[in-house]
This record gives sequence, structure tokens and C-alpha cells, in this order.
Amino acid sequence: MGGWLLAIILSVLSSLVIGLSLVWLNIERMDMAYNLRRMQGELEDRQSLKAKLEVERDRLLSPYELGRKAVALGMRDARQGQIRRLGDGGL
Amino acid sequence: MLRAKTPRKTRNTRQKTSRMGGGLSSRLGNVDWGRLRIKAVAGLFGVIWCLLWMRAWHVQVIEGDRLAGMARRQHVAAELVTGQRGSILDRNGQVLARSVEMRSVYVHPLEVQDVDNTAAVLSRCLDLPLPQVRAALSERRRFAWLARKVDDRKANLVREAKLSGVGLTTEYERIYPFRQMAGQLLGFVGLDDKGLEGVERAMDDSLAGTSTRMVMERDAAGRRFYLPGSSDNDIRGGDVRLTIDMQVQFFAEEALADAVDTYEAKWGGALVVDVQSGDILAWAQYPFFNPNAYKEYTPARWRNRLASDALEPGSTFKPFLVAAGLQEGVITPDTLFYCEKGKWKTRTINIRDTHSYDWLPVNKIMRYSSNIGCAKIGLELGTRRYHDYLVKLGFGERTGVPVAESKGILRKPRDWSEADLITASFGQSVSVTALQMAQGYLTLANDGVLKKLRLFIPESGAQQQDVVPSPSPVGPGVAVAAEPRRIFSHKVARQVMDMLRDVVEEDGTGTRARIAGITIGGKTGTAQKADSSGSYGKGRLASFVGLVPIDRPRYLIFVMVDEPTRSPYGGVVAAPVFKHVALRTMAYHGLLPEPVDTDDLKVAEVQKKGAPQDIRQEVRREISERVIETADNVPDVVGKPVRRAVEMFATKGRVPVLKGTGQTVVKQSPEPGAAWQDDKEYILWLSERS
Repeated sequence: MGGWLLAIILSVLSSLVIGLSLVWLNIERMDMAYNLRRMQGELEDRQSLKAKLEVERDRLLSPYELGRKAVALGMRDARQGQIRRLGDGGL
Repeated sequence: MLRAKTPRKTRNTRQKTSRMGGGLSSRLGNVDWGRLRIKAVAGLFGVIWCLLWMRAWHVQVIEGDRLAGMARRQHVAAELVTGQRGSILDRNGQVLARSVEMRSVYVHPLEVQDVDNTAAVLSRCLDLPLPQVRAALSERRRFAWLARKVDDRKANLVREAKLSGVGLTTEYERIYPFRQMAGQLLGFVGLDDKGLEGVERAMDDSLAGTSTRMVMERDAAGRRFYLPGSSDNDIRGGDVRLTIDMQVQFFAEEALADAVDTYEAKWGGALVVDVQSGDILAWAQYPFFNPNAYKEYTPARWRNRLASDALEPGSTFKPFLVAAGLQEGVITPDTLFYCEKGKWKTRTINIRDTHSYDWLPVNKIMRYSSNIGCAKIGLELGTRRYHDYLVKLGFGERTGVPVAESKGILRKPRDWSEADLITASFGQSVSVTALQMAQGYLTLANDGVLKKLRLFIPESGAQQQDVVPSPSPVGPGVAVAAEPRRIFSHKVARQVMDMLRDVVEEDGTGTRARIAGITIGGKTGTAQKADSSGSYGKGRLASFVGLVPIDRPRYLIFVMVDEPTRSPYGGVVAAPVFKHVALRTMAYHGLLPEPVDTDDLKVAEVQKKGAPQDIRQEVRREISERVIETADNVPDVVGKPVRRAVEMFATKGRVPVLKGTGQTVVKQSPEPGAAWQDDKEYILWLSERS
């Protein structure tokens, strides 16, 4: 009789511990899900910002834009005979 | 307590027993009331336990599915998610079109609490007129867009205002960073991200992201949880890589715009093709079209004319006639034709040349672009044979470049009259697109073997040579290997190339296309244009097709300028555009030679009389690309001109000290081969004598 009672008590305690663990894990999971979601949002925002910055960089480096800047700085196209190409060991 | 009560109960029982007669009292006296109560309580608990089990069974089994569905609806939401549209890249990986996330502002008018205040804030944040915002907020609707695809600054202002009933959502905006560059080729997409014109439309299936329904878990407040695997990479559209090189595109656009403006033309177009691969390096059209603001343009402005407009090509068509005649053995380069002193009245048609010629060999007919001479070659060749060659070259059929393309007009031989044959011999009564013309010349430049143009680079990096972009059913842009098909013999192709060289390098019509140090070949065209009545009016199409260098063609450049008013001639209007584009393209690729010193040529010609052409070729080869040596050690500059020596030092960031006077370096310090040192002084001694 004493053995049965002990087994029941242990079972009840185990169930209680497992149940509490389950609840705790669920809370942790939700917490982690919130954090991941937040980080995912941050990542998307940064990727979006990066894409926009790349677009702006491409626009600023477009031949038309560089041509305008070059003219403003007093540059012009090199004429035939004025072009020197650097080899692989160049600057 | 129980025990204390028992004697009283016993007494009562005894009193009752004495009154009732004694039997019942003795039976009741034997009942264990305590045990009875325990059993009753246990029974009650048992019933309640059973009821609970029954309820659980009812909830789990009978109502289980319905309740689970309700729970799912509360915690899980299905959303339609559309993947980001793929990017369009040039051959070097520069992004020509890409989608970026933008925020759009919407309102739930029924949830807005303070319309006046909300309208004032939104009007300030979004730079919108107050009445417009107030009208949107006052609508009796559940949802309304307020501003779509606003910039980040405005979106942040709206977010920070925390207005009730106002929300932000993400949409994708198509951005073309290079603005008007290749605008007509790229096309544009509508608000729903669907390609409406150009490459955006032609490659919509590849570029468009996939729409899929994704299940999201959410909490009581409606916030979505992160789900493993919820990345949108799988639903993103694919990238498309074009053969276009944006630098070459820029050269073509700039030169073309200058010509169209200078000669006050309606529009102009240019194609630059890499002869070895068939890759289209530039696809320029002016006036420009900026796809970022496509709504501000008319359809005529965004039409991709180089592919969709079929025009009578004029004299640039003559090389195909001559090549066909040579291939059929009807003519040789020296066959003489009488050019009727510039006016020829046939039974059906009157033809004029711009100059009066008597007898001209075929190569000079091409050089001076005699219509009468070509008409006579055409009559010798005959309709059927001429038509067959045009078909083989791809005229009357789409080139296979997967953009909205016209087939042009090439009627069947049975429909040709003699007048049609005559006019088709110098590029009238047939209509062709710029793409078809480029492909025809590409075949001539490719030693007479048909070569297809290519606009898309397959992701797999498939072999470039002799690859045909196939339309359906394989799908646009998918490369299919094709058998090389020879149309003209090597000898014929070479003979035509020589004639094209004479057009530019001798006293032909294309002398304005010459570039010092490079042998150019090409053909001018000044085509009459039919007016609305169907007869030829005053309008002209000035064109030039050139190959650089003509000996081993590297680039094919086709230029057309429509209805120039200040001069109608292709040799005047279009040839300089070719020259400008060819010069810069060759320089960009490091293929531009130094200019030839004419004195050197004269000396060489005097020394080796009898072969001036060979000498010229030799000198040109000698002065091919000059690359400055940039060795890791100090170079040997003794005996070199001072300018060259200084350049060699300058490439390593060293400025040498010059001592003495003169143009030639006679001594140097440190010695050649020494290692470069930052703190070292580099000295060059000069002398007049070499």
C-alpha cells in the first residue's frame, strides 16, 4: 500500500514538473519568436536601406553623372594618343 | 464530535423505538452513518468526475474539429505574399532595374477619431493638400489609400505620429538607377509590378516574383510570430542579365543625342554589336525615355523603335545585293555597269543618282552608292535569287531577340514586279528593323556565316557562339544551340568587306567615319521616306553601318537618324556618330591605337615603293595598344624619350628629378632593376643626343 502511494505521489509530482516545464518552454518559445520576429524586421529594414543606398550609389556613378562632374571639374575626354593604360602591376 | 453525538441519537432512537414498537429502531441502530456519508460524498465526486469526463469527451470528440478550427482562426492567419521582382543587370553586373521596399500609407476612415487633427498631421507629413487628406478621411469606407510608395522620411513621420486608423504597409517600387539610359529597351512595370513594356514585359515570367499563400502564427494582438523557413528567397523573381555594357551604351546615347539635336531630326537610334559573340553592347534611342516616370511620356516616346519600327533602309541595303550577286557568280568586283550618267528611265520607273557616272565597276558602285548600278545588278541577279538571300539573312522574320519585334516587310517573290526588284536593289520597297540590319551585317562580318544577335546572357553562362535565343515553346531568352549556317563564302565576304572599306577609306560616301590608325569599313544610307499618302516625300532616313576594324571586325555599329532637317545624308549625319562611338568604345576596351604620324607613313612608302597598303597595315599593327610597363623594380629608361621615362616612373607614384637639358635620358639613378623605395631620390640625366 505504501509503495502504491509513493508511486502515485511521484507520478503526480512528475506530471506537475513536466507540465510546468512545458509551460516554461512555451513561454520561452514565444519570447524567442517575438525576438526573432523583431530581428527579422530589423534585417529586412537594413536590407531595404542597403538596396536603396546601392541604387543611389549606382545613380551617382552613372556615366552621365560622372560626365557632369568631370565637366564641372574642367575635365574632358582624352584624345587619341593621350591614353595610357596601366599594366597589372600598376597603381 | 461524532462520538459525542452518538449517545443523543441513540437516546432518540430508543425513544422512537419504544413508540413504534422496537424492530425498525433496532435496524437503524445498526447503520453506520459515518460510512454512509463518506460513500455519498464519494459517489457525488464520482458523478461530477464522470460529468467532467463526458464534457471533455464532448469537447474533444464531438466539438473537437469545430473548436480547433476556431482556435486556428484566432492564432493563425493566411496571407498572400508576393515575392520581390528580380533585377535587370548589364553584362558587368551593374543593376539597371531593381525593386526596393517602399512604404504606402493607408487609412481606415471609420477608425479615425479626430479627423481634423489627423488630416492636418498627415497633410504635413506627406506634403499633401489638406482638403485631399480630409476628403479621404471623411469617406464612409473601411479602407482607402492615402499615399503609395512614399519615401522613408515621410513614412517615418507618419509612423512616429501614431495616428489611430492610419497604417503603413510595404510595397515594392521599381527603380531604374541609370534613369533614361536604355529606357526604351528596359521598358517599365505598372503599379502591380507587372511588366508593361520592353525587357520588363518580354521577360516578365522570369522576373516576376511568385505569389504564394503563407500561414503566419500570431498572438492575441495580431502580431505575427517568426516562423522557421518564412524567408521570401524562394518566391523572389529571377535576375536577368543583358549583354548591354552601360559604358558603351553611354557613348552611343551621347553621340546620338548630339546628332539628333544638331541636325534637328525627329529621333535617332544606334546599336553596337560585338562581332565575335553577337552580343548587343548598346541599344540607344533618342529622345530619351526615363522609365522611373513613365506616366509623363507618350507611348510614342517609350516605343522600342529599334525593334518595332520597320523602315526602308536605303543604300545600307546594297551590300546584301552585291554579296548575293558575287555568291551567285553574276558579278565580280570588277564587272562594269553603265550608270546612265545619273538618270535612268526604265519601262516602269525613273531612277536618279546623286552624281553623274558613266561606267563603274561593282566595287565603285558600292563606294559611290550608285542606285542605277545596283538596279542593274539586281536585274542581273533576278527576283528569286535575291529574295532567297534576303530570307537567309533573316529579313522578313524576327531575329529571335526576345523583345516586341516587328518582322518587317519582305513580300513573296511572286508579288514582286520589275520595279520592286529595281527599288529593292537599293533598299526601297522592303522594310526592315534596325535589329534585322544589324544581324545581316553581322553575318557579313562573321565571314559569311549566319550569326544571331544576343541580348540576354543565360545564367548558366552557356556558350556564346552560334546560340539562338528561342521564342516559345522553349520560352523567351532560353538559348538553344544552332548549327552554323554559311550564307556567303569566305571569298565573297572578304570582297564585300573590301568594298565597305573603300566606302570609308577611299573617296566613298563614308569618309567622315574615318579614325586615324584604324581601318574602318561601312556603308552610308540616305533613304527616302514614304509620307502618309504612300508616295515618297521630303523626309529622309540617314543611316550608317560601320565595322571597326574592317580587317578583323570587332564591333559593328548601326546608326540611324530619322528626318534630319539640316542635312539628309547618312554620310554627314550618321557617319560621325559612328566615328564617335567607335573611338570611345575602342578606347574603353584598350584597343585604340596611337594616331599615325603621316610623316612616318610617307617615309615608309618612299622606302618600300610598290606596296604602300602593306606598309600602312604594318605601321598600324606596330602602333597597336600601348601599355605602360609597371614592373616591381626600377625600369631601364636610358635611351628613352624623357616624356615616356617620366610616365614610367609616374605610374609607380615617383616623380624623377631631371638634370641637364634635352629630350632623351642618357643616365639614370638608381640603376635599372633596383627595388622601389619611398625615401629614394630618382634622377634622370638628359641630353639632346640619343
